[in-house]
Amino acid sequence: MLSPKKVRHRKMFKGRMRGEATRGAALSFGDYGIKALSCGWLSSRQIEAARIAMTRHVKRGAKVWIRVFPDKPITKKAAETRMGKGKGTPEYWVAVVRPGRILFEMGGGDRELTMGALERAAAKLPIPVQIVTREGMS
Amino acid sequence: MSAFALKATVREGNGKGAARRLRRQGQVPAVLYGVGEPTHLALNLRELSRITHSHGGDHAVLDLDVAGLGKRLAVICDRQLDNVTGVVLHCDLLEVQKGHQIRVTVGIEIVGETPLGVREQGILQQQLHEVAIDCLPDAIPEAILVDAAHLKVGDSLHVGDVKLPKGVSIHAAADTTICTVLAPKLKDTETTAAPAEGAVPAEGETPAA
Repeated sequence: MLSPKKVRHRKMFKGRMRGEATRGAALSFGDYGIKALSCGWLSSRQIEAARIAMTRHVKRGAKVWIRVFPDKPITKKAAETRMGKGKGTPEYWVAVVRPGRILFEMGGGDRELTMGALERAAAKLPIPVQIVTREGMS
Repeated sequence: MSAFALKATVREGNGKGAARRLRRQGQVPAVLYGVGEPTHLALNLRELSRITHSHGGDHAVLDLDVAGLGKRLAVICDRQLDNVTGVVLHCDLLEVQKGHQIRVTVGIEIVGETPLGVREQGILQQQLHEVAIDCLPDAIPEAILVDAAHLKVGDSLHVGDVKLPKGVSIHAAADTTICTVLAPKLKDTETTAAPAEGAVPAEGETPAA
């Protein structure tokens, strides 16, 4: 699963997700993609599940690009622990996503197969998304 | 490609307040420049979308009928889109004159039979989707068509290989790659390098493998 190789700080504030994506909001590599319609956190597991769903459906017949990277550590306190005593330990990684962000792109495959793959990937994600095409975005 | 007729009106107010009022009325704020003083215009969103969604319409010559100013020829130079909905927020129009060369960005379309490499399980990857061309306003092609049927696995098609319509020149290096046929993957990489669950690299250090 995706995770940073090196971090400057092991723990991070929760943060707020305001506004819309201003970068990474257009198809850059492929002809089809998945666009986020609301904000949220995508965990590395969810990204990996979506990637596997796509690659298994197209059976190596298309190329996949992952446009988000989970670089935010999420901490969790151990079970049955009283409050206090500092912040919990890092548990998993997430990518912070704002509306408009392109999450995945696909290209090189035929349209029906690619659309099917993207629909399967969309089902693995925790936020509402939309499948976009290059001609539809022009 | 024939010119698309589009009606426009000169808009009064400037700034985000006036622009938002226009958008609420189903219009798009636009600016026309290139010849003489820039003019602030308002376009009908539905009419503009119909043109831009047609084949080659996003770089076609517009036959503008501006109320009070008369007829003008222009091309869409730049568009600002809403990142979520894709609706046009603002449009830059470059006024053109007949007989004067202009530079427009045109899409590249791969046509013809399935490339040889794709029949051998390769993947056709298009790296260049649009390119700037220099031509006369009445000679703008709908798209630059390239035939990739002869490409084998590992072969690439470059800008220098493209046969252009008469009077059109590409503004890009001849060795710029348009598309490549990638070799088929021998084994699917089901999982990327997976660190142990919850493993977090130490601050400022590379984690142990």
